[in-house]
Amino acid sequence: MTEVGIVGYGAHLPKRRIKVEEIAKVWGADAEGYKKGLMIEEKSVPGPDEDTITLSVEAAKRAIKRAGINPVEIGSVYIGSESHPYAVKPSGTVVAEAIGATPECHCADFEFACKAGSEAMFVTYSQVMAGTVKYGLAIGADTSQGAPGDALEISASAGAAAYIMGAENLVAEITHTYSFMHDTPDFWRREHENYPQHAARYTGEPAYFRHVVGCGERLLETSGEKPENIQWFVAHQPNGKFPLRAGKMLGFPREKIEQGWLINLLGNTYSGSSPLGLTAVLDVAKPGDRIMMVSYGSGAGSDGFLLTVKDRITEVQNITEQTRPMLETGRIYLDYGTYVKFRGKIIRNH
Amino acid sequence: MREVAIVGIGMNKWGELWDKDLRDVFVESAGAAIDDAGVDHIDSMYIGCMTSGLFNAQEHIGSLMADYLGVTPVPATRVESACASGGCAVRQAFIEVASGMSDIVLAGGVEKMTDVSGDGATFSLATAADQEWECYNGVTFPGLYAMMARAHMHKYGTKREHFAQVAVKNHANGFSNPHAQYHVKISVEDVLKSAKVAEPLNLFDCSPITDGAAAVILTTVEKAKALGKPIIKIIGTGQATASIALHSRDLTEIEATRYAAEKAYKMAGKGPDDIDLCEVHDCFTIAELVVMEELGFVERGKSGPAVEAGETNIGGRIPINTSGGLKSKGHPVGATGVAQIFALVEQLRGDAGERQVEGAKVALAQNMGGSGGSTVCTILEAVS
Amino acid sequence: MSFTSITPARYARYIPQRYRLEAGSCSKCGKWYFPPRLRCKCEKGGDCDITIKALPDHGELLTYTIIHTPSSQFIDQKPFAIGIIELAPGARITAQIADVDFDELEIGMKVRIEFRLIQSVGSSGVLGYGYKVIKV
Repeated sequence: MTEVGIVGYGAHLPKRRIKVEEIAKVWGADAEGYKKGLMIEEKSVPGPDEDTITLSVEAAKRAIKRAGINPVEIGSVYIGSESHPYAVKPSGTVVAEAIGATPECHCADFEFACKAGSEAMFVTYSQVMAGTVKYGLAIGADTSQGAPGDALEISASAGAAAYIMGAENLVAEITHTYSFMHDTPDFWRREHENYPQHAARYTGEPAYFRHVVGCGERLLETSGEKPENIQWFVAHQPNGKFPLRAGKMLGFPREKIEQGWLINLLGNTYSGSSPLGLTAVLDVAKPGDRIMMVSYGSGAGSDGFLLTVKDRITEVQNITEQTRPMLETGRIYLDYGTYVKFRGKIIRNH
Repeated sequence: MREVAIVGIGMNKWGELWDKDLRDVFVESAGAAIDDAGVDHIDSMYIGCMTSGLFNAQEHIGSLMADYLGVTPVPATRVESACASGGCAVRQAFIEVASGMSDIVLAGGVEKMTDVSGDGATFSLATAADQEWECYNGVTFPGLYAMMARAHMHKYGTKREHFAQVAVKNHANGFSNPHAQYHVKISVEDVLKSAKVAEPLNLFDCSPITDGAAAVILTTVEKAKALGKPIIKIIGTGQATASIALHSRDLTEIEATRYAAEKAYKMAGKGPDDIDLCEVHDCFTIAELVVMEELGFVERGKSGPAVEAGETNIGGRIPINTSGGLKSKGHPVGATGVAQIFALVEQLRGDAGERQVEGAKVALAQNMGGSGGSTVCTILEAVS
Repeated sequence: MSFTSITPARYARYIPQRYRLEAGSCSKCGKWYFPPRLRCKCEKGGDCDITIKALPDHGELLTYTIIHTPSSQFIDQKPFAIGIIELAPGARITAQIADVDFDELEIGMKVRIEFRLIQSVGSSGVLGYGYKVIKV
């Protein structure tokens, strides 16, 4: 069977941040309680000139740089997000034009709550496997919103991760995939509503853990792989605790999870969450390492991937921005007023 | 080419003219010019107006004004070159008389800017800049001139106080101009403390939004003599174009002004030292400084110190904007170029009262569009 | 009267320039035209021989200002910095300088291009994307 996987990867984060204390104080909430309970200290905030499309373009450019390909060879552009700027008109067309992949290109936007990005990755990988495209671009990106005063406002953040999939010059081969879903009303947003709703504690065991752990277990089973032989674990990060617990349940100690665990400084980038975690792992992984990534999308389902890092990765890790430095440096902190202005939460006349 | 003289001038009081519409504003000024000339007819008319379409939803104003002025069926043409529309109208009128095509031609300019909101005015004015490569990305008119100012400060050490002094001088001059929009004296500190617009330019570095019109009547020197008028000849005219986008040009120069001035000086057989006074296009204070250099009144980069030393005051070496300039007189875009001629004719006739420059004989008007994409220079001479 | 600064046709026509900074480069005299031109006089005589090439994505800040009174589409973003940047000899753009501390702005600053949302026509109209620069 052909080796198919990641030829190039890239991430992009906005520079702005807001601290948990800044949000909590406005709503009379217990900042320390939130920080302990969610294991989040601050989150990224997109500027008024940033959205899923702009973040995706920058991430895609880095992926193309690492892939070392001519963008005209990209045969498909799929972007998974919960915050596509248009409800009708794909984010993908703007990104495809911006990177120079048009006009010969498949394009569609993906949607499945927080796992829209990993679905885009799966479909792109499948197309390469089937031989219908030579290279495909898969992006998970979001500038998600949380309702003012809700716990989700503490965590909902912005970021993008992009992957060029192909069958040659891989930096990481995708060796196994598994997808696991049930119709689960844990978190949703109806048409025309500004903010999503969630089912509180129902979002835990019956939703996140049922699928992340369920998917992870079946991925290990079907691949015959053991956690001891896997060096890195990345899971979807709606808060800091869930991915650590899920990882533990699957047999991964904290050290294997830390590198891809970005939530404490980034917040929950929704469709970007596990894809971004994976970029942080790829930044430091060594040839021969095994990586397991399990996404989660409310509604609900998980996509699992097993990857083997290839030799070529050492040639590309340092040639463009890496994820953790972007997370940890050059940050611009906002107050709550500027934050809500940027996020369009203030009622105006039209 | 025949010799051309200006025999009549007319202008209304400029400001926010809520009770007057575009037609009233023009007809008042044009009628006053016709009366001042004492002519019983005109052969043709040019009207400078940047954008009655965007400000007043009205185009076709050549005919509209001919109708309301009561001069139909004479030919009437709207002329546009952004803020240089008025100067262009005067130049077209000159060419029509000089060529022998017509004997008596009215050159007027009008703009009625207060019919739209502040936003609407900003949008309309921005059409003088490059829509796709300047305005699309968020720059404003003050922004363009501010970038020019910063480059000038960086290259020549020009100071914000120098800009401020231009505004102070022009307000001092406009104080006694009955047609000016503002009659208020200001200080350098007032300018430096006024609200930020586009750094380093503040509110008092910028010309205002104004309703107004001005008109002049051009005819042959023979006809002027027959009318018994003081002979104020147009002895030189020059017009030039350049890229309208600032980023396509030199950041501290305005080449269109340089080329237009060269043409006008050559035609008039004069040089900068022959000019007794000048009206320049001070849409922003920095503009007056750069234009002074382009017209050859000072060396490159030395305009700031020259203004500081009082060289451009009434009574100085080269009085500039004795009318108050755009800053205090106002800037109804299409009218400005014509109002500059009005002011210079007043001076050359000896009618400028408190603002009179002693022995004024040769004068230059410089009118430019946008951030410097077009310029018209006109040189006048009073002959006994 | 409503004022619309971008319409679909005007916006889309220049997508190669707005998104990819595609310019015209003369193979005879090396001059850049951004946007590409239909007619241009070549310094080496005759007309320029133009090929379409993307401008370099990094350059130097030649001048700048901080805008406090922008046009209506930009009101929510004020004050913001905008400048003239030279990306290649003779190839200059006017672009906002994003995410920058105003005190750090200086002539000669090194910048690079970043893709951003420039403006939009209200909450229901077309989204206008394009180029800004950031400090490197």
